[in-house]
Amino acid sequence: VFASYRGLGSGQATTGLVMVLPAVLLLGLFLVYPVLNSVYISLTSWDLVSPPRYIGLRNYFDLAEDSSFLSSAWISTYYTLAHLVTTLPVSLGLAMLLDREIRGRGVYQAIIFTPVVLSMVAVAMIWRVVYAPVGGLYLMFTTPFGISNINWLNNSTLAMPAVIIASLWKDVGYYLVIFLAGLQTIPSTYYEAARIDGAGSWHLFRYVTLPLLKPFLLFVTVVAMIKTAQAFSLIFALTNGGPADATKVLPYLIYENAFGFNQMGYASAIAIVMFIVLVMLTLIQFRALRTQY
Amino acid sequence: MAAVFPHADAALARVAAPAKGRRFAPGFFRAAFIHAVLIGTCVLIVLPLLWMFLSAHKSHEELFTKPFWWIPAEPHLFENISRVFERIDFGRYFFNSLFVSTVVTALDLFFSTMAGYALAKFRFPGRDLIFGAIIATMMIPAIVIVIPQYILIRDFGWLDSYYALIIPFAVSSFGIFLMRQALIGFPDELIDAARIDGAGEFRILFQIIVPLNVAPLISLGILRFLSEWDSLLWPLVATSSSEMRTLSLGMALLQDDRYGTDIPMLMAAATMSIAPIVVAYAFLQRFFIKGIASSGLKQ
Repeated sequence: VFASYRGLGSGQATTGLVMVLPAVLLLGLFLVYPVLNSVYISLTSWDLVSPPRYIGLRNYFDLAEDSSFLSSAWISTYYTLAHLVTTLPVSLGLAMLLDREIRGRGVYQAIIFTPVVLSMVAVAMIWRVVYAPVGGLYLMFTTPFGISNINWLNNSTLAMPAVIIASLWKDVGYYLVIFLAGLQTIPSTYYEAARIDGAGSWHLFRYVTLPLLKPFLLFVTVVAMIKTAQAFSLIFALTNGGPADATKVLPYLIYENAFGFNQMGYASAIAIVMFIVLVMLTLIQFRALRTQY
Repeated sequence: MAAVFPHADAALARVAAPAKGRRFAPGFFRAAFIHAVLIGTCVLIVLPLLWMFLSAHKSHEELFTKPFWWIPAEPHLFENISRVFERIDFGRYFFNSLFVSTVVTALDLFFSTMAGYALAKFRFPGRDLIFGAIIATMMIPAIVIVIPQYILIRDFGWLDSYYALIIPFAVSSFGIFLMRQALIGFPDELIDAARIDGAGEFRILFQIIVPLNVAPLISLGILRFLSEWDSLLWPLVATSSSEMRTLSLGMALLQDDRYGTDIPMLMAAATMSIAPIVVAYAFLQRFFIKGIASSGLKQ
């Protein structure tokens, strides 16, 4: 059958199209069409039972005044930024320690990377028990200071920090490996030259590592932002959005509105707003990439 | 300081690490400090896992009355595991996750390789447009399309079936992108030589290109398998019966408040669920790290 495609010329075009076609159809049906459809759904009021009713931009106007949306938008921002400012510096610091020939380098890296391969739900289960008010592992760190009986996950001020600590534990290895790849693109001759000029460790970091890593840092920051803003599993399995909505990030709010309250139109409007923000972040990321390579 | 005795430091570095000293020639105290920080970090990473493992061996009373490091003389692991099986159909959930993740990975490898190869090596009208569109779809976050996807799958009548869990994820734009980047540098001479020898295009792809490009396939395979294994939101909305639950979903629902306090049982379940992945990781570290990191290094 394929004999007719053999050789060069227009046969190649046919084969090429045949090879791309299944992927294009699948992506079109399950990715592109849903995005367009979700724009339409966001302009309707739809409870999945009766047919969707077109209501124009009403959902979007309602969003602007909905305190649960505004509070979730704030919680998502807080979570994303707090996750970035804790995880990225720790990962970069560890990557710099590992960016040299030291004994056990591979072992250190493999251990720190372990949580990355675990499923988020398993991680949430483990951390729920770490945070158990009585008998939880956290006591190992707080009892020396005479603190015990902290109800991490039932306290609306402590729940988000608890999520952030668990996220740090889970993701630090991931960004460590990414940063290590970035650090290894810096030629060691730069460091040697700076050293001969009498630069100390801090100066090496400040005037060699940081400027050369800057486009890479921007790129990783945006990747991390996009990834964190979409976090659902950890929140669902660790805090269930609670207590008192203290950890109800936007993805959770979308899930709850759509599949808890059957408000497909309203939930889609939230999703579209989130999508626009994420696309803008992605465009920044591609721009950062272009300056880099 | 290091600059004062460069040769001594270099010698030390050579003793410490058999490979060539890179960048800094570390002094003894500096090396000790670095190792201390790294060991401390590793302890913090391992501690929750170790604790999970130990808790799975304890009885409920022991967990609250004994210190963390206490290792039970008579482990209760099997009682705890049997309580897991009383509460949930762990075997079924495990099988569902394994089946769905494996099939999705296999399909994605197949379709992505084919599409990536065509985009890298064939000239046809609209090729660059298609590639650009595929890149653009990488921006689409799962949470944004979960509602229309649910509606689509409902209209197909696929809710609560393996079709719902597999077909929408049978190809990934990232997979196509990764394979296209991996194959674009493949020597055209080899392809032409095979053509002259009379090999068909699909035969060239699967008997020449694929065997010579196993590394990116392994990376993509691990990445896809783990992300499917990890998936929670989609199984949560697309399945309703207990028979269709994946492991992630089943475990998330297991820690429902009714059982939330049976910590040893929960930790036995967590241990069983991560054991296969951790064992695989222990043997294939490099591939895991490379595969997962590739998702953050879109080059």
